[in-house]
Amino acid sequence: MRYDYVHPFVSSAQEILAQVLSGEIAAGRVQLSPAREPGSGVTAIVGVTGDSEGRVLFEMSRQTALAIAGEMNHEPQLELGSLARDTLSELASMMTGRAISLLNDKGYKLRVSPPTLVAGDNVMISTAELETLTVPLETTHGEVVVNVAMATL
Amino acid sequence: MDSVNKSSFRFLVVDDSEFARRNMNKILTSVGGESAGFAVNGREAIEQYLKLKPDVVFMDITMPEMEGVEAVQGIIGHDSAAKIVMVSSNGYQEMIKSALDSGAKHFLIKPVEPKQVASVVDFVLGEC
Repeated sequence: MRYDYVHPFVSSAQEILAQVLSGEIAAGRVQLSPAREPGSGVTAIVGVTGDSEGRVLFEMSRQTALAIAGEMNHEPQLELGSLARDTLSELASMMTGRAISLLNDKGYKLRVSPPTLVAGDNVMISTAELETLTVPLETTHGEVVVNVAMATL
Repeated sequence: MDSVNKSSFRFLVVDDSEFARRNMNKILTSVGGESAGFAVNGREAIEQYLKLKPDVVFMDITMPEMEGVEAVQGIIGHDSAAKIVMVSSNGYQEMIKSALDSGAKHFLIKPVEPKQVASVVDFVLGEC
């Protein structure tokens, strides 16, 4: 997987988070995903199809997820109810949508699926056969980790 | 819709996302609009448009049952003067062209900003 292909997903996520949240969004180092541990947070999963296939995951703690949903709605979200879930799905959709637009305007033909939100204890999301690159984005509400797992174009 | 006063325009928001509907509703109300109603997919959008006759429609593209571009064609088939603004997370050239070719008057890329929405309302309601 080429870094120039991963970059649009990371830069788009960073830009969108900066638009919908207050404060700076700092990106950490890109790294190959370590062995996955069962998580207890919230993950938004977006499938990518077309010239390349794979998925993009946005992982965050439950606390971070609720705080982000709260800020985006200008009202506190105390539980992961339908509005908070929908807000996080829409956020994932905006982040991947911008990336897909950048790539498609360069000549690729890619489409994204509607996001799926997974939340709960001991949830393991496998990206088994695909190399996964991860980049942590630091928000004022905590870390959002962008995972890009795509077949090479 | 021969003459529309921007300060009292009625709008229809079409989006399958509750967050997006609430957010757009808030922004449009803040720039002087009045909600005529909402729809959660393209099929409902056509039904609601015919029933509510809003001054302007803000339409998402990717929705279940019937997508936004098909809904625009459906609405334009009934009312060639319909003023529809597409609102999408995907803003690549081919998609924008497809939306405008279907009869939409403008295209906004999410996340939308109030200033941008106000300016588009001015444009589509012919007061720019």
